[in-house]
Amino acid sequence: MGSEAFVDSEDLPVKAFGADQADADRADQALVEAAQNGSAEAFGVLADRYHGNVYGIVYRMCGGQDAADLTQEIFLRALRALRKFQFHGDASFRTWLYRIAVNVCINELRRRKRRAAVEGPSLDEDLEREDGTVPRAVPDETRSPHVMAERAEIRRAVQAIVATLSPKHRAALTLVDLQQLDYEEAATVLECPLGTLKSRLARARRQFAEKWQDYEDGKVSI
Amino acid sequence: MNRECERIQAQLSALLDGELTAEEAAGCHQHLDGCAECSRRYQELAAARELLRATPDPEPPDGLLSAIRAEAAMELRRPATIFQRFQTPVLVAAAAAAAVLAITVLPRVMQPQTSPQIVAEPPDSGGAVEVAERPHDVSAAEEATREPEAPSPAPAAAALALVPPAGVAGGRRSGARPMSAAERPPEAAEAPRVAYADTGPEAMHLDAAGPVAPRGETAAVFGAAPRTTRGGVEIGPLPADGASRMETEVATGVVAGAVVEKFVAENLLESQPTALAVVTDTPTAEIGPVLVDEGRETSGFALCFTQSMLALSADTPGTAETSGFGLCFTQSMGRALAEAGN
Repeated sequence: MGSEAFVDSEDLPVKAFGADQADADRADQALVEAAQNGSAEAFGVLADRYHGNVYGIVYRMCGGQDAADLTQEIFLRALRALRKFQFHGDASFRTWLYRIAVNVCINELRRRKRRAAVEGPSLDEDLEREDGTVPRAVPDETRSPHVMAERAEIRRAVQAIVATLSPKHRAALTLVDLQQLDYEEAATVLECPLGTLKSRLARARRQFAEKWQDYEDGKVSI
Repeated sequence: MNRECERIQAQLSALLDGELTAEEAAGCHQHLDGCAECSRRYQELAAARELLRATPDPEPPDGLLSAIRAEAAMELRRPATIFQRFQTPVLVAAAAAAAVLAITVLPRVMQPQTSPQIVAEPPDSGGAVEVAERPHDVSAAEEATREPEAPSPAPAAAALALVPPAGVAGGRRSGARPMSAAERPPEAAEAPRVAYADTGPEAMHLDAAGPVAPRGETAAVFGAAPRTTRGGVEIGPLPADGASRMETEVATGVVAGAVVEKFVAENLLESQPTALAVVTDTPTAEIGPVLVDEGRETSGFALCFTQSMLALSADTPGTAETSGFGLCFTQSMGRALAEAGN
């Protein structure tokens, strides 16, 4: 791809997406209020709307093994927080929910790290390093439905490389490139300044690109 | 790689997302046209970005959505706590503030004491100060809470004491059924009463704040100082030694006492474990600003507790005063919260 292919920001679909998102936010707000008033159906609609994305975030951040359980935990936490009116509408429900998801994932990664420190590393645990993690072994997902899907090999490689990034870089990459949030929303989710988000994303992409290139060149196997 | 290449490469990610200014983007493109290394990096980065964006999300497993829904339905079937029945954040925050006081001081109310309690009524009720001897239920106090073996040198830091309707606190703990609103003495339903329990020489030690109003001085102020008016609303006398108005409000129970009387007296005492959980989950820093900023909008509820708060908010419609609301959390309150958190 040459640099000429680049388009200006005005041409990106972000703005149209933003308008759609505003409509979605308004629809969410009504559901949130209903859920706060005890409507399981309303919360079910919200879960229907976002469980796929939340599952995707968890999967990218923590791997597939506990992704379903963690997703369930995230929604339960969200519901409990809603009932305590801890969602004030200063951000969209989606942003707020993603923030819970990222926090739960980072806590889970920390928990795993603590557990590894106590129990010693296992062959399945990622190896934590200063600049991220290195997988000791790629999880065996040969029986996973994902592997049966189209482009399963590429998806597996992407996931394995993403898993080598540090949690913060992983989160930035997951939100912007995989969930395709705009910078501002991703920064809100991660509760960091815009500039920090940009630098984390740039670093994460650079690391991913280098590792992907090595994978394609056959220098590493995944 | 020279410095210019480093500078350009640091911008490539933003360039891909259209996050650079037109001038910056033009500079990048100009450099890329003449630099094979940066151009290669750019193409790698663009390919990686495209790959990531084209990678579909993993499909959630079958049954995940129904599991979430089932768990949500189960959660929603649980009876709401008194806090969850409140429909606005301010009520939650106010009740949480009251609960903090309640969980901290109820045991003290129920502790055996022979010294007098100074009972201050809220300023808008017209009452001043009364001194009363109150018997206390020893076993109830022991059961309700045990003061942690804190190494803190400050003894009995929390001296705020709610005076629950007669018979409610002790009776609840000794197994009596809750007293309904109709059964309560009429004055209990109308006049929130908050007392300073004479629990030690540092009765009003507000450790987060710095200012300390020793027990004796504070009591004297309540007994003798004239009331003051702010914003047309009469508020209680201020401590002589510089404690903030917010501290005074909370310490005298003008805020919490009324809340306790209306909601907590009937409900909180029988659901303290729940109250603890709610309080624990309510960030301290959020309580004060919400009380002050939104107190105006709480209609009838505001009349119960915010007349003087309104004066406060009129004086300080920003954050300076409200940021100090956490000052009401005394050392033993902090310990109670820490215990609850554990």
